[in-house]
Amino acid sequence: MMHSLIQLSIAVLLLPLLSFVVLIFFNRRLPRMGDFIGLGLVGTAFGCALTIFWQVVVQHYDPAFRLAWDFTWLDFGNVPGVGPLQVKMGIVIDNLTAIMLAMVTLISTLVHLYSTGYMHGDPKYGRFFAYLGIFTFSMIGIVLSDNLFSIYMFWELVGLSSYLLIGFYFYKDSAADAQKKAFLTNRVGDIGMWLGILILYSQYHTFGYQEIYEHIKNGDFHMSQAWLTAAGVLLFMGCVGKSAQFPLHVWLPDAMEGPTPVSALIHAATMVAAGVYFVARIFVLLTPEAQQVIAFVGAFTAFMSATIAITQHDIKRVLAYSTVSQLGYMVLGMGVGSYSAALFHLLTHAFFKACLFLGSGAIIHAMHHEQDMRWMGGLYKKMPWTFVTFSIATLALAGLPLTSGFLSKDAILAGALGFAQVEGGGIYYLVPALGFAAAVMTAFYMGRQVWLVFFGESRTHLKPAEDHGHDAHAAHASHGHDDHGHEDHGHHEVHEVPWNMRFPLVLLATLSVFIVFSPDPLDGGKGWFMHLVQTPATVVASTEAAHEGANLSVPEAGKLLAEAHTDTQHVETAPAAHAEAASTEGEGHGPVYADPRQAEIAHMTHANHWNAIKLSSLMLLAGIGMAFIVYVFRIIDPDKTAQNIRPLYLYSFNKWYWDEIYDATIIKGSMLISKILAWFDANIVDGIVNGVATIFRKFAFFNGGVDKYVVDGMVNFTAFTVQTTGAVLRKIQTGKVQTYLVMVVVAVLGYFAFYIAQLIK
Amino acid sequence: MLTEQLLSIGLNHFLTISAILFGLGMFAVMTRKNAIVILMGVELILNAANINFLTFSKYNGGMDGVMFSLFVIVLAAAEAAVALAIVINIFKTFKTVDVSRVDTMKE
Amino acid sequence: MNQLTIPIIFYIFAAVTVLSAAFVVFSKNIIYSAFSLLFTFFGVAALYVFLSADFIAVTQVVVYVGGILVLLLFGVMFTNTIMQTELKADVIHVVPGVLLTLLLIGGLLFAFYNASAAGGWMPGMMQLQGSVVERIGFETMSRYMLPFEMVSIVLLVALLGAAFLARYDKAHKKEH
Repeated sequence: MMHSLIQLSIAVLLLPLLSFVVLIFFNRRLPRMGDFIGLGLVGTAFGCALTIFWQVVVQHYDPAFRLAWDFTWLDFGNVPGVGPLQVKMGIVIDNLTAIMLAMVTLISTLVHLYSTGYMHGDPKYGRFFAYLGIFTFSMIGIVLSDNLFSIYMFWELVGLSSYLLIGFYFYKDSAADAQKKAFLTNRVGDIGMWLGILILYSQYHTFGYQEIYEHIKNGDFHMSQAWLTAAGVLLFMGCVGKSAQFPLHVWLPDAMEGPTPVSALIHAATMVAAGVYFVARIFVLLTPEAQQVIAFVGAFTAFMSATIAITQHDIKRVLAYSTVSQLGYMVLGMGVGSYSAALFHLLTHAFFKACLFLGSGAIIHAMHHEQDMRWMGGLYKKMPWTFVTFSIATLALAGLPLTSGFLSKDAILAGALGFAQVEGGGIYYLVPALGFAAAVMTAFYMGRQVWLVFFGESRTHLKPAEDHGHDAHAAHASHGHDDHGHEDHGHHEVHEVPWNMRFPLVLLATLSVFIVFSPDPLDGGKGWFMHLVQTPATVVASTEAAHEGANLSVPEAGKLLAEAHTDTQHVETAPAAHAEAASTEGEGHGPVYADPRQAEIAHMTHANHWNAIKLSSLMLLAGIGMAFIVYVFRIIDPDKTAQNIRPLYLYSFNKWYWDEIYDATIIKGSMLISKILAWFDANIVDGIVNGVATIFRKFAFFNGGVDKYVVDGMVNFTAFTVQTTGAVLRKIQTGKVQTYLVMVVVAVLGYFAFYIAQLIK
Repeated sequence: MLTEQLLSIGLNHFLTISAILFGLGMFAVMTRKNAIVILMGVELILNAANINFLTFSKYNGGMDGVMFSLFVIVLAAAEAAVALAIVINIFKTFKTVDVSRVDTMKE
Repeated sequence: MNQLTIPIIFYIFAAVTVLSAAFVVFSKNIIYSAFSLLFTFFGVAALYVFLSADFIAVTQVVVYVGGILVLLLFGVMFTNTIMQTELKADVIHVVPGVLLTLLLIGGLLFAFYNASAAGGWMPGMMQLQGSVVERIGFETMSRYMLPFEMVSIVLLVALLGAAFLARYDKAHKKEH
């Protein structure tokens, strides 16, 4: 029998799907277009997820908790050239899964609730909830998957639902372009991910994580270590696409064309975090080289998008680039080996970023679809709830102590410092340096945003009247939200949003406070999350071990490693007791690692804990202070500064020109190739064909002479005969096909009658 | 006796279904005026034939029926493409797909 | 329990097949007919699975549902305006049609049952069991090599012919 938790998790998986199926077909027939069905079913799923969370996290409270169930989905038997081909589907529930399930369903439920207010009056209101349903379904599928194949399927499904939701206002060209861009960019990453899956499959003929890790641990990998690195980096490409890392980050800011609740759910809290979650799932097979690649990509992304966020005007774009930057942090955390810190940041970021997006949605809603921060201002009196929750989430994002964001960001930065020291300094210090630089800028641009939106005078009247072309968001207001559009288009009354939009904000802001995650406001390591989600021991040889084993053949080196790991197993048999012992010691939580590199990083991470706190607090003060100097005290005039450093300003404002670069290289390049091929086709291939045709024409000319006199004579004679016969037979033709057919059937029945008569006789 | 026959699915069950499908398809081809519905009837007839092939193949243990049904499906695809092209051509020429009005052959 | 479930599933699919086929034939609206045909094809595919021809069932779904049905729908769209009354298809010789159809079905069933009752069509000793995918592969590449190649040529020719027949005829257009 299945464990009751597994049954519950299947319910969590299928309830949103049911919501999708019901809503996509019947939303027009249901009262209120069926929003209560979507909300109710996803809410029920959240209830089930909470039960799982309660049983796994609260009752068991065991870092090694793991529950798996699978069945054979497809069995192709022994395929020639491939070997046994069997695809299994399954569910794995461990602490991470339970936490992610609760997080995804909670945010999804809140977004459903919020959307009943935000999307109210949209003509496609019901379909919106249906799309949210299929998204929730596929995201839960990613979380529950126990193998690479099914995660890939659900991966594509979230890509699809993201596509549908980005293009929800598909009548706008910008939205339609954004959805295509998102889909195609993700495809690039997914191809890499699929190649990575195939590398692993070619070795082990299984997709299951656990089996693959067992095999690698046993040293069954028959190719060189470089292939394992390649597999890791290729799998990471899936994350690069989905989590919008450099160089595939370009789609996420454009994805803000979707409705704001979607941005909160998909493009901030859950789907983009799926990439990080996936890296966490494959974490143990990443080689040190692959980890370094991941760390640098993450650090660069965090830094680059933070610089872009500083100069954007659109409230959602600032948040979008900040999301990219925070995702960069998570990826950086994965790369430097701070597995649990990265996942911790994923969780805390999901809550405060969803809060920020929903808050910005509330502002946009209240401002009647004005998204440009230059024309906002002075909202804190008019929207006190939004202001307070938005500020709490902002502080969490900037990483102020006492917030959840501080705990997780600090843990990642400590990991980055430890990583740099273990790797031997030099260029590796770039990783923490970029991370800290991004922290400064995060504090700065969030301070700027809060100030521009909530303080100062209202600048609505400053907006140029004919500014429709600038951000193309003005068109937004004219569609679907007519019930909000008051008659006078000059000055709108700004009002606080209704309760169903306020409640999610309050709840999410509450979840951004440190006490939810850790009793100690300065150390996330003392909290339940870091206890439950511990960095798993890697299954690949670290660089040193590989160098030592260079003289040995690879399987032998693997065997050595396997022996090392049996030791780990002994150590880990009592992880809870061990963790307790560690925490009484006052330094070092979590298991001891057999792998020397990993152990060293874990050690250095703890050693750098206080350094990171000091540095990041300093950075935070610097960032916020700068925001105050520029925007509150107005000591430095932002516009004048922008003029003074115009090239830099434009570079940032135009997003480092990535779109233009891609346009000039990849898109132009493929156009050029296709033009070359077209030329080849038109001139060379057609030339050959035409030459052949000419020869044939000459030949045909002679042939024609023979044809005319000899063959035609015979043909004409035949035709004459046929014509005479036809003149006789045409009398019984009616020209109606079906009448002929009736005759045919009569004839067939006659044959039947004959046959049956024979049978009876 | 009857229940026993009904419960043990065998040759005759499938043959019955195929006979009904064939009859329905034939009816569509004979009586409907719209050329496209006639095509649908043809598809029903082909499906009925396929069921017969597979039934006899299954209960005989040979592979011939399976192979033939595969070829039937392929040919049905070709037939549908050509027939629809013809229908579209007829539509272009006569501005109708009513086969009873397409009777130029009478002249 | 197992003894009952398989017949029940069979009868469900048989009913789906026959009823939707009847709907295809008797519905006045071509669009409804086309969509009902979808259910017929799926039902027939399910019956193929009962006949342990899983590959054929998949092919049926891919080719019929994915290809032919779409083609038919295209045909409907091309030749009818959706909102037009033209969509309702008329009938011709209904009475002889019904009579002949009933006779045809009756005759077929009589022949089938008589033959099996007479012992002519008893199930053989060796029935197909399980999946036949692998055997189809072998047969295609050995005994049915020639038909396989010929079918591919037929497909090519049909493709060219269909494209030729349905293409936009400029010269033809000019005459009008």
